[in-house]
Amino acid sequence: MVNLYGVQIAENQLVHKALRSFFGIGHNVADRICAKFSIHKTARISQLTQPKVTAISSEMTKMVIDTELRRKIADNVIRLKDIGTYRGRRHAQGLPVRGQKTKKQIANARRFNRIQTNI
Amino acid sequence: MVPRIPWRCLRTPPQVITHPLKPRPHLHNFTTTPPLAAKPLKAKGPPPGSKMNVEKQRSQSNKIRIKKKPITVQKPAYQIGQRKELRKRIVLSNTNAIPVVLPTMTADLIGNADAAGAMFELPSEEGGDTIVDRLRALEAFQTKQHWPFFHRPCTLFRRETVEVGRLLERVMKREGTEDGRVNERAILHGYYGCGRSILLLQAMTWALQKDWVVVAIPNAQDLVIGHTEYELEGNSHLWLQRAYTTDLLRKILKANQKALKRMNLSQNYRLGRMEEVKKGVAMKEVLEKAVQDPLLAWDAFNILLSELGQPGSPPALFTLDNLNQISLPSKYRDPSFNLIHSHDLALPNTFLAYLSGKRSFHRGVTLAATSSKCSRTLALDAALEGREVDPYERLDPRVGPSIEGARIIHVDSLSKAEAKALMDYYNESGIMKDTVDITTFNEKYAVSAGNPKDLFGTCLRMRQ
Repeated sequence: MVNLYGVQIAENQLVHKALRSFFGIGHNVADRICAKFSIHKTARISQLTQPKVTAISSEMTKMVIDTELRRKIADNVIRLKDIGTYRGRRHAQGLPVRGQKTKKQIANARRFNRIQTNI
Repeated sequence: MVPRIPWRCLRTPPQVITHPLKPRPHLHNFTTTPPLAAKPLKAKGPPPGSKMNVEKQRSQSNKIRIKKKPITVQKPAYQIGQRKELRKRIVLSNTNAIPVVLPTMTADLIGNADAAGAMFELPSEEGGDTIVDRLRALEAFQTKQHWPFFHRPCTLFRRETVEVGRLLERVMKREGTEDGRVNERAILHGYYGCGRSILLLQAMTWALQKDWVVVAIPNAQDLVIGHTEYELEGNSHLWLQRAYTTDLLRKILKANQKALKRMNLSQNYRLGRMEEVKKGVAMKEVLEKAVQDPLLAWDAFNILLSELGQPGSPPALFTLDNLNQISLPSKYRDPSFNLIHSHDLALPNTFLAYLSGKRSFHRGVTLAATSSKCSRTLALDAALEGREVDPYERLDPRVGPSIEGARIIHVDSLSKAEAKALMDYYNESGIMKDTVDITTFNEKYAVSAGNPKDLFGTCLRMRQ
């Protein structure tokens, strides 16, 4: 197990896939991180040297990812609510925000649109 | 007027159409008994003559029978790399095939035009590392070259083989400059399935027999698809692939044991950051040390190449298959996320330096083969054709100069004599169903258009 950004990751995991397990890192960002540290496509966590793992972790601390990103999104919603906008109100009611109809198919809005998110 | 006979009456009554020879379908006879008054159907039981107890039979039939599951042994999971090994396994002999007696492809045949159009078997020696084993170590054999169909690996001696042989011959006879430096550079180019890789194999066979040092990059694709480690080297601004280089050294070491043992260093060299190898040490020892440590691999490879450039060193053969792959941007990225050009990778760069004549062996042949299983490389195609590039075409400007000055050997389709030799060999090996006569030969030669790969396909397939 290797500690990457405070998370224990299995040694045989692909580096690219391990990076993508963090909220806010997708294929594109993972590609860029790998390119920055000259890590090839099929590299596994076990093949990384310790300085490289530390360098990747410190690179990730500079980025807004994971809990920080979730908090940022939640803060934005709370700001909308506080200044009394329509979007903020819709978020609070758990209804679609962007003018969708509400007769049917608002399951996702019910699921995601709320003021307090579990961070 | 209403017709007197309504049309419906003209219709023939529905009849069951029966075939005169087939049995008639069973029909119930006409009966006047209403269904309720009919006798109830008899329960199915044992035939009147049997002594079996009815009750007992009932109790037996009511038993719940659970079907026993067949005991299956679960296959163990594949180990890491096991499937790749199965995929890449090369089978060179088949005991079911009929052995064919053929002359051996010895080094005397190098550049012999009289031998063209005949089949030869690859040399096999009793005991020790045979040439075939050494070729296998260099990955000269490829899957899908139909080796498993035959009793022993054999190849066809072609016109192009003579041409390749002449390159080796010129180096052996030192028909070069006055200081004894001879370098031959060539690219094998042709249509798909025309046998470029086999020509490389034949060149390697001869070189190994003559105790040359053979350095072979079996598939350039492995270098550029981004599957091996890479790392920037500060001084040369080239990208090193240490893991691949270590692998390459291992192959070189395995194939060229004898020649490397005899090679001694002509000067001191640095190996890695700390170590130093002294003058007079055998090349084999240097490589054995480097194989253990990937950090030393690139230095050791450079030592080998520079030693091969010194007078008194054995001749060298440097080959690379699938040249097209290194004429494209690689899949690697630099830290600023730009694609790395294949020519900026150290190994392809070194090979192209030898191919274009920027670097040279003391006595050596550099051979490359193009591939048809690659995305289009317009710049390379233009360079191979030798045509002037239109400035509006926007082709890669680095590709043209990288192969400048190399002789281009066009690998053509088989001549009729060559195709006949090949087909006779197939016939004697027992893979052809048809008899070989002039009609069959002409048919198969026409269908395959003399392409060796297609010829094998047409010979193997049953006649429709």
